[in-house]
Amino acid sequence: MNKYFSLKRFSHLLKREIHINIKRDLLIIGAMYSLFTLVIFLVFEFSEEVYNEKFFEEFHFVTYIIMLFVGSVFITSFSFIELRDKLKSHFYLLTPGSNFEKFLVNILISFLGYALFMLISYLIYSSIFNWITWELYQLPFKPLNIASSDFLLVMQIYIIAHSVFFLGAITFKKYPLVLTPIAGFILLTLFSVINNIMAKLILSDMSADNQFDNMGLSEFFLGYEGLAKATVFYVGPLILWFIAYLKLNEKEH
Amino acid sequence: MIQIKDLEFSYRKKNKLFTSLNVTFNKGQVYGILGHNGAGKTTLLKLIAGLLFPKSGDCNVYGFTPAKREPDFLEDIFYIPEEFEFPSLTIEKYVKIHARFYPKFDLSTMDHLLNEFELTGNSKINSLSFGQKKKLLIAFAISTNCRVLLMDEPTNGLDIPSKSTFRKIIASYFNEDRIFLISTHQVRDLDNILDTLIVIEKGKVIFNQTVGDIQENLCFKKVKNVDDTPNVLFADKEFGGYSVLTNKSGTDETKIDIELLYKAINSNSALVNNAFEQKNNSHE
Repeated sequence: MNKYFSLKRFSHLLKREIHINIKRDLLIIGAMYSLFTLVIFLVFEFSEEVYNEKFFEEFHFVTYIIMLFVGSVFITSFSFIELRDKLKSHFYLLTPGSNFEKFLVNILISFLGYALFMLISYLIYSSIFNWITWELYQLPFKPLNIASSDFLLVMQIYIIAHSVFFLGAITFKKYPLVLTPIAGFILLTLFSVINNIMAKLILSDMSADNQFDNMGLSEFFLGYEGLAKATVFYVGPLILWFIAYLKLNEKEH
Repeated sequence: MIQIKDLEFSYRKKNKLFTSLNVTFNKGQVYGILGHNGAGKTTLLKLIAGLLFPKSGDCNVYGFTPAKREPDFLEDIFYIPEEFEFPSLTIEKYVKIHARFYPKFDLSTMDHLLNEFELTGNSKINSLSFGQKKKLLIAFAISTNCRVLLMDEPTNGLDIPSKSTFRKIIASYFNEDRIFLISTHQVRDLDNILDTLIVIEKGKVIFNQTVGDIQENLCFKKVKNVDDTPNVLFADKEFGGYSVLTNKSGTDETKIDIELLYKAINSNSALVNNAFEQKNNSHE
C-alpha cells in the first residue's frame, strides 16, 4: 500500500477524527449561533434604533463572515489537539496512517469541512432568522448573498487566517488560540520595524513612499500588484500549510 | 527482528541518555527490560515505536526506520504506555473505530480478552478505573496481532487476579513471529513469561541473557548461612536466612528469582556476567 496516501486509510482517519473530536467542534458552532441569537434578539427587543435598507441587505453577510472567522479560529486552533496532551499523543502518532494523511484530514475538517458546514448551516439559520424576525418585529432582512463581489475577498482572507492558525495549532504545545495571534503580532511588528530600518538605510529617509515615488519605484511595483496579491492569498497559505506538515513530521512524544 | 546499533539519544544536549546503545531483539522472544528509574527503559521503547528520534545511530524494526512512522510499520507495532488517556467513547465504539487500522485485527480475540478481563463492550471508557482501562488497552494490543508489542509497566494498576490473567494471556497469544518487549519494575509479575532478560543502567545494556542461559549458569537458593555456601555471587538477607545467587555447579535447575538476579546485577554486574563467560569458556 502507498506509504504516503491511501484512500482507505484516509477515510479511516477521517472517521476516527470525526468520532473523537466532532462533538467539540459542534459545541463551538452551536455556542456561537446561540450566543449570537440571544444577543441579537435582546437588541431587537430593547433597542429603538431605526434600521435602514443597507442594514437589512448586509446584515447576514456581515454576520456570516464574523461567525465564519470566529469559529474558524477556534476550530483550526483545536486541530491536532491530541498532540498537545502527553497522555494521548502516542495514540495519535502511532495510529497507522501517514503524516500526510493525518495532515490532510485536519485540513479537510478545519478548512473545507467547516467552511461548507458554516455555509449550509448559516443559509438554514438565516432563513429561520428572517422568518422569525418578520413575524415578530416585521423586520425585512434579506437572505444571505454569497454571490457578492466581496465574498471572494472574504474567502481569500479566510484561507490566510486558516493557514496561520493551522500552523499555530501544530507549533504551540499550549494555548495556540492565544499564542498564535500574539506570535503573529510580534512577527508583523518585527517585520515592520526591519522594513522601516531598511528603508532608512537604503533611502536615507523614513518616508519610504515619497522616495519610492521620486525614484519611480511605485509605478514599477504597481505593475506587480497581481503577483503580490497572488503571493499573499495563495502562495503564502500553501507555504504555511507546508511548514505545518513538516512540523507534524518532526513531532515526538 | 529489532536491531539497534550505536544509537545515541538525549533529551537535553548536555545529558546524553544513550551514547552508543547496541542491542538486538529476535523474533519469537518475550523480553523483560529492567532498570532503575531514569535508566532509559521507556525511552528505548519509544525509540523503537518511533515516538522519539535518535540523534545518531540506527534503529531498525523489521526493515523499517521507526522515526519515519510509515503506515506499514505502524500497522505492525503497538505500544502500551505506562500512562494514557482514552477518548470519550464506549469500548465497542473505540474498538470499531480503531480496529480497522490493523489489518490483522481479530475481533473474536478482542471479545474473548474482554471477557477474560471482565469488561463489557457497552461500558463508557471514561467511567472505567485506570486498571480497567489498562486491561482494555492490553486486550486491544494483543488483538491487533502486531508483530511487535511494546509494553511499559503493563501490570501497573492491575489487581492480583488480573496480573495472573495478564501472564496467561501473554503466554497464550505469543508466537514465533512476534516480539514482546516488557519494561517493568514489578519483576514478580513477569514470572514464567520471559524468554530473555535485559537490564539497562545509565543508558547501557549491562545484562542480556536468555532464561535458558540463566538457568544453565546460575543457581537460586535459600540458605541459612552464606559462609557455608560455595560460589556465592550475591546474597540477600531475608527472614530466617539468605536468598543467594551462585554459580551453577550441578545439573539441577532452580526456579529463577528475577528480583534476586536484578539485585545481584545492580550490585555487581561484572561478577554476574562473568559467571556466563566462565561457563562459555569452559564449554569451549
